[in-house]
Amino acid sequence: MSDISIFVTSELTSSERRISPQWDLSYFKIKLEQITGVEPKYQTILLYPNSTSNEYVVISDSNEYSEEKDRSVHISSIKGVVPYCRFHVKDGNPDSVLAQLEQEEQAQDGQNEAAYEFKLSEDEYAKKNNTVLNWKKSNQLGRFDPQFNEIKQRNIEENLEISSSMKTGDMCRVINIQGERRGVVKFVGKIPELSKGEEDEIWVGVEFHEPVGKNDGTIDGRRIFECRQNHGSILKPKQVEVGDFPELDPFADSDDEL
Amino acid sequence: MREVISVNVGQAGCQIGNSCWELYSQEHGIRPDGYLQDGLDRPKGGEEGFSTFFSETGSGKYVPRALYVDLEPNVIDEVRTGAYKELFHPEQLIAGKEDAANNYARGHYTVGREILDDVLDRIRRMADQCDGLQGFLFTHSLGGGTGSGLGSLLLEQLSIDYGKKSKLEFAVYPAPQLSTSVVEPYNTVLTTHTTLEHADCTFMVDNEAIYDMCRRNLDIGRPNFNTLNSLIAQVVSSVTASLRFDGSLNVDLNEFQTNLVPYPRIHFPLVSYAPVFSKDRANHEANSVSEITAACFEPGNQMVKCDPRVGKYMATCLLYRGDVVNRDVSNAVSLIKAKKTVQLVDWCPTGFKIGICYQPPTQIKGSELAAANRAVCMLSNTTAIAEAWRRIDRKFDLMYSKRAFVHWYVGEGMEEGEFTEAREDLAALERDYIEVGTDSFPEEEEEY
Repeated sequence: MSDISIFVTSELTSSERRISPQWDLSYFKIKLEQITGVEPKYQTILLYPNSTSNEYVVISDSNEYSEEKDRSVHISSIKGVVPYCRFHVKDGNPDSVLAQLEQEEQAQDGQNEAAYEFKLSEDEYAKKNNTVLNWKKSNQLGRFDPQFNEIKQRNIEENLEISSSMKTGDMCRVINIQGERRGVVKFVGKIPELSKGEEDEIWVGVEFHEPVGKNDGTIDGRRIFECRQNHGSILKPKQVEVGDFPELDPFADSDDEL
Repeated sequence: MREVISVNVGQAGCQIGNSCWELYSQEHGIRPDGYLQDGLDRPKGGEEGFSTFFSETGSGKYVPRALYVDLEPNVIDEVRTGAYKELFHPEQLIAGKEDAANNYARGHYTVGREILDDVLDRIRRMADQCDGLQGFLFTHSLGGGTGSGLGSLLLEQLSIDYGKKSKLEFAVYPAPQLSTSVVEPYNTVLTTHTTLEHADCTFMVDNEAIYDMCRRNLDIGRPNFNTLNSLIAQVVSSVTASLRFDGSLNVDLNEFQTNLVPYPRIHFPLVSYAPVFSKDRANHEANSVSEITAACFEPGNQMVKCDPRVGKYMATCLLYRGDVVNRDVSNAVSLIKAKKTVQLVDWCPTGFKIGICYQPPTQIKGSELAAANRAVCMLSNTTAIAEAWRRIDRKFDLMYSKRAFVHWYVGEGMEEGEFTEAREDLAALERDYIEVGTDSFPEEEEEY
């Protein structure tokens, strides 16, 4: 009998695999350990007829683990094993490293920086040879360009021009590495506290619909515009896009899930 | 002559290889047994382009310049017994006896090393048959044991044996949500570190992105590897079309690097493809040049899940196929440029490079993908793809902080120091992308 394709899932993994019907259950469990990380003696295996069904049968229970028994069971003799069925592996060991990983992952979910994250300091990065930073330095690119100041001046002028088409009350959005945020323009003008020596620099104050801003409309204690706590941000005109951007419905794509 | 040798490594690599060679054969009018289809007196596509991917035997039979390598025998046995068994010479199919158990260290150090000499020997023999070998095209996964471990070992060796010959990769990248195996983050970080200085250009494909495309655009309720791979093959075919047919851009392997990679480490262009829709929908979907071009900027048409709106573009190649004229392309590109959502890195020379290949896409029998008279594949080097590295690095850190499953690797003779060394290199890669992006415009991103 030739191999069949099946799905293997566990709390942390999901994959399509190939199994041989000649395998015995003990060997299959070793394979499942390599995929899911669950040790054979703690594996409880649920069998689903396909990848989307919710109906299952338990084909092996970790509470009744016996390697000897597993060796006498062949995959081909298990009822319901068909191409593209799904084996779900549950971990019966509450102290396993997997259980710890799951807990940790949930605890850190949604946070920007996790305690366990590897950090490479600016200095360490700067010391490395083969990096983009070093390449830019040696080729005088970006801020290492002698004409950088000229480019900077042009940038200020471009910002000035963009800001001339913005006014208080405009709907707007800001897109950056964290995603898209929408709000309303509350201020367009100069803020000396922020412009380090660049007198002509123009800033835009935005009140977001959600509390995804950096301030409450004040800078160094001075009120620039009226705004709720954590809803306000002050940005360069180029970062703000004015247009028909009404408030986003946060649940708009929730029916997109499986 | 400027031949390209394809090397498919591991289960994912070999299965994608199968889909690709099936498609290439059809595109060039080659039957599964290697002979020309009835009614043809020469392969489709220019002689020059065709011979980069196929060699001709004396008897009028054509053979792919391809090698299949896997550590376990089953996937390759299927090639040996499948519909295309006569297309390949038995020497092109190399299988070991014992698999890599999803473990980079087994693929790279122990089990993989045992078949290394054999593989290098076969590659040498294929290279000897070439007049002017351009380089190699690798297909492998980054998360599996063989694809990551043996794949990177081969790339290292080819750098030694073939010096500056180009090496391009199509790499299956871990999906953002669920890993395919619990140690996938380790394998991915380790193999990326090892290959970073050996691969010239790496095109990544994440199965979740393809899976969603199959469900959403092709109405396939329960996609499997076969459905995913036939879509991947269509994309790979578009990328390689300019090498195989008379094209105008990226006609040589090294041009991909020249056109897309400003700095060697930043060599992971994002791939997008359009149109993707099912036969049922084909009559209701518009397919003009400007529509398929705009679709390439939609996240739903990307091969890797990331948000290009937050990134900056260093370089972009638009590779069109089929019924496409220059004027339509120019219009489509100026429409894109007018949109503010495409931000370019402005201190390094960049722009839209255009390639047109007049051979339209070919439909594979049984594929859900509707036939199209034109298609476009966009390769864009954007800093947005750094999101993919961040995700995998973080998963790696979570595992490594608990030293989870590290003993599986140490048990295969790998030194634990390789984990930290690899992770540090990836951290530098993340920094590299930030350095490309944030400084591109003086103090552009400021928020108070």
